[in-house]
Amino acid sequence: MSLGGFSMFDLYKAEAEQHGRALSDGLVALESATDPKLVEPLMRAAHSIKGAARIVGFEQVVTLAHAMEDCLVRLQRAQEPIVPARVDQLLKGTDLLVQSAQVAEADVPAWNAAHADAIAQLAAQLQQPAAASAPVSDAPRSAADILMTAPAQVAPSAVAGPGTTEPSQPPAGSSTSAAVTTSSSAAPPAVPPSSTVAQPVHAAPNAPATTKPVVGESSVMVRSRNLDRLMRLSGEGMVEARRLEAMQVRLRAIRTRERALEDLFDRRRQQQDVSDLDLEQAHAAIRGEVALLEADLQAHLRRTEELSTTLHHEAIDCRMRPFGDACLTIPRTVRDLARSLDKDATARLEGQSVSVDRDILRKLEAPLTHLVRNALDHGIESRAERAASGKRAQATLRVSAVHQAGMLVVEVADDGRGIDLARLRTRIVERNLSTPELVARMSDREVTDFLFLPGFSTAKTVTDLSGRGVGLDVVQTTVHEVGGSVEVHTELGRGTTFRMRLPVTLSVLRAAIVSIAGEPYALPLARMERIDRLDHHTLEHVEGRLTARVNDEVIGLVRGGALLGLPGDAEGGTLAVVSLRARQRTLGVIVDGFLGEEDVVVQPLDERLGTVPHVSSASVRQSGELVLILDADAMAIDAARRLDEGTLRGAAAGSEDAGRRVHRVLVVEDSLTVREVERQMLTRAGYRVDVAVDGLDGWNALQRERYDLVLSDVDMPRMNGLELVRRIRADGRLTHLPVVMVSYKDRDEDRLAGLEAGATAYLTKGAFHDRTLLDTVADLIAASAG
Amino acid sequence: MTEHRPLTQAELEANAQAFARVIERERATDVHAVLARVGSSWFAVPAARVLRVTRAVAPHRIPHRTHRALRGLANIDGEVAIVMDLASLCGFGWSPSGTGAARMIVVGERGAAWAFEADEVPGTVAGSAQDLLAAPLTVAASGAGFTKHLMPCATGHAGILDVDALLAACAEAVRA
Repeated sequence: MSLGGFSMFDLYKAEAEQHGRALSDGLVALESATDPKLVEPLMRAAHSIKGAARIVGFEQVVTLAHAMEDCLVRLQRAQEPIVPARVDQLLKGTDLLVQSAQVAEADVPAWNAAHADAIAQLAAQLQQPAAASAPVSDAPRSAADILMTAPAQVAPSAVAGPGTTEPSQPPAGSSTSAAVTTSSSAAPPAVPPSSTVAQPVHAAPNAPATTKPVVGESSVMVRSRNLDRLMRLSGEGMVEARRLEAMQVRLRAIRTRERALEDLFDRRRQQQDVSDLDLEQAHAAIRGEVALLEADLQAHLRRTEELSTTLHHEAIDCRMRPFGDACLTIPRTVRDLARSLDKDATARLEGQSVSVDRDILRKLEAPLTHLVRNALDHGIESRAERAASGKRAQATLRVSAVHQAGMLVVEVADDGRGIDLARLRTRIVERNLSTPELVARMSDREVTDFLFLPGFSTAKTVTDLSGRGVGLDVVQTTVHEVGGSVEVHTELGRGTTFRMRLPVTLSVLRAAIVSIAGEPYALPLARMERIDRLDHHTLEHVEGRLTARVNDEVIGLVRGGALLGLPGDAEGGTLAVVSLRARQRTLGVIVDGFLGEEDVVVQPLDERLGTVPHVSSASVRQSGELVLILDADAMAIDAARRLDEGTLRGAAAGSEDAGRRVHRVLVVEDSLTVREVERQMLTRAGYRVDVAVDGLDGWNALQRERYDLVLSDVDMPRMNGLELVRRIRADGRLTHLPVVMVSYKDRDEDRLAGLEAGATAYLTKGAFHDRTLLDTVADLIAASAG
Repeated sequence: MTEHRPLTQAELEANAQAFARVIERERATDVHAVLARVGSSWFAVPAARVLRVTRAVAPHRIPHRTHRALRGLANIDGEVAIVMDLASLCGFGWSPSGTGAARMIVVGERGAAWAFEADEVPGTVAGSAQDLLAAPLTVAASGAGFTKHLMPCATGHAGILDVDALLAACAEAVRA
């Protein structure tokens, strides 16, 4: 049976997911509020799932939903109190209901069979009074259980526990000394992982690891408001495009009038009776039309620009999802985890409607979960400890999002015990990460940064949840991946806040466009230290390697082309140096030039290429030209590694570089176009090319630098090619330098004049169109080297 | 309203012949290809596999990728395509002339397009499968294996490219 393309089973899935989420959220709220009035929507949700499950033949779901509904009815009528043990059972049931929505239609009988026992057991418990139905082994989601399904690893301790009995700690009851472990004597005790895993519900075959549906790349949810606006804007775009037609008509009118004016001129030339007034009138008519066209065109340009900008923003907006989407599971996680740790905590979510790029949102989920677990495990104190320090019994974990100065700021804040920075400083010294003197001088911010180091942990006790020294570094890595940062603010005894600053969208980034080996690359501004234009002669040589003084620091330089494995680095008077930082070292990358700053729209790199080192993505510039977006961090780290290994060498002071001899060619040509064609051709063929705009310029370049070949035009201002060759041949150092003359003049006498002046070869500009030029250059360089 | 009447034998035969003529005509031109010249070699690219033919744009080289056949990436009408050197893939030397290649043939699927530079793309040719010649041994056996048949064209013969084999070689080259 199908309904408008959806099968009944699809509808069941949608219903089970929707009502399942309502049940999950509602139950957590019910537990803290214990208000029977909150039960009714939950009853309806269970009832709806029951009805839908019956239609598609999900017998076990019917049984379970029925038992849950009965139980909820009793709660609503206040026939039994709302206690956590009961909520546990109902949540466990809800998990199963949501899980059932993930089952393929064909697998329903198998699912029914696999879950029959577990559901019968749970249904029986739901019928019994709550107190009796909460045996020790039935804690539904112990810490260990959650750990089993936790993404990757657990967070380390960020906090000095009270068990360390630092003198600065407030006095606490003796029972709190092991608060961060799960072996607290208070009920309900956590169970060892093995017994939890052995429970039938968790051992169900093919049970999905999570209850979240897997979202395919092929379809995304877009708010209908967005879509409406896109439609409207694209409609306006069409209207704008049609205006061009009207302008074309106007242009034709101008043409006609212009022809009329031409006629008048002709007639006047033929001494016919055309007065100045006639001409002036005809001219004025044209001028009027042109003015109108110009006004039209200007208005059109303005509107088109506005329109395309709005359209672009709207399209970006389609990528946005509310921050709340990343928080769906947080209230439940906090509730379950707090219960398993015998702590009393509640989640407070703020800024749920804040728009976040869906890619960032997806990446945010794991770090958020890490930080929430971390806060519950280490930040939030046990009930006893909170009571002893006079705090409100229930701890609050605040998860918030807000847009601030073009960035998305996400905070996870607890009102727990805070981080003991004095102890943290001691720990840094104990771990030999720094000296006592240095640590004493470090700011609080610098000290808390150590928490993000891989393997750094302050927890004395390794608990099941955390304290293994992994986790916070993962948070930092993930945040860095999307171009963000993370920091910690803490106040001893008052709480800890982790603040993540993230870009609002990943689809547009501000970048510096630089030219490397003759081609454009984009470097995200957020990821580089600075760009300096330096004059070649200001560079210093250390052991024959180029160094530059940037910001009162002498930094080593590598050539961008050498780093990217591309021949054709430019070399000349002024150069641009991009400073990158990795592992406390600054490295200067020499680029051919700085082409400007642009917003680039990020496009993923073609999957067929696999991973390309140092390149993160591609983009198309406004000119239509393709740029590759560089991963500055990877470049800096990799360059540092390769320099250490000796597989990359710092830029040499001479022309020799990176172990391989790159031949240098001087192009002397006054036509910009021809010069550029020659430069690009030779650069692509692997030569390092310098250019000069005429003979004199070329001669000066030859005085400064050494070249393997000169490619020169014949006719040029100031000093022509023939004169240049004569000077070269007259200079003792340059006598043997190959010179190729390239000219449009193809007569024999021209050729002869060139060769007589001393040119090694004479080519006509037609040589561009095949390999002649490149072959000649290669042959001559090889001959002169041999 | 006209009544349906059974067709006579003569009418049926006439119809059958009419259909047969259509089929014959189709058979006469059952190979459609886009002609392209790379250096002095002529290629015939099956038209069904060609996405578009455009003015050539200079490809952007890809760092750390040194395969001779991989020319780089280019924005072709708003889509980023991988530009390959057909000559290198076939094993003969060719480089675009000074101002770059004149044309690009874009082959494959949207979103996963491959572009090949060519000196000229004069148009399409159509021919019958019966007119095709087997590629000479030097091409079919010892060449790159992209050409199994030759197709007559105005300038002589063009090698019909086996696009699947070519694209498989491309996919291998870009990962090298």
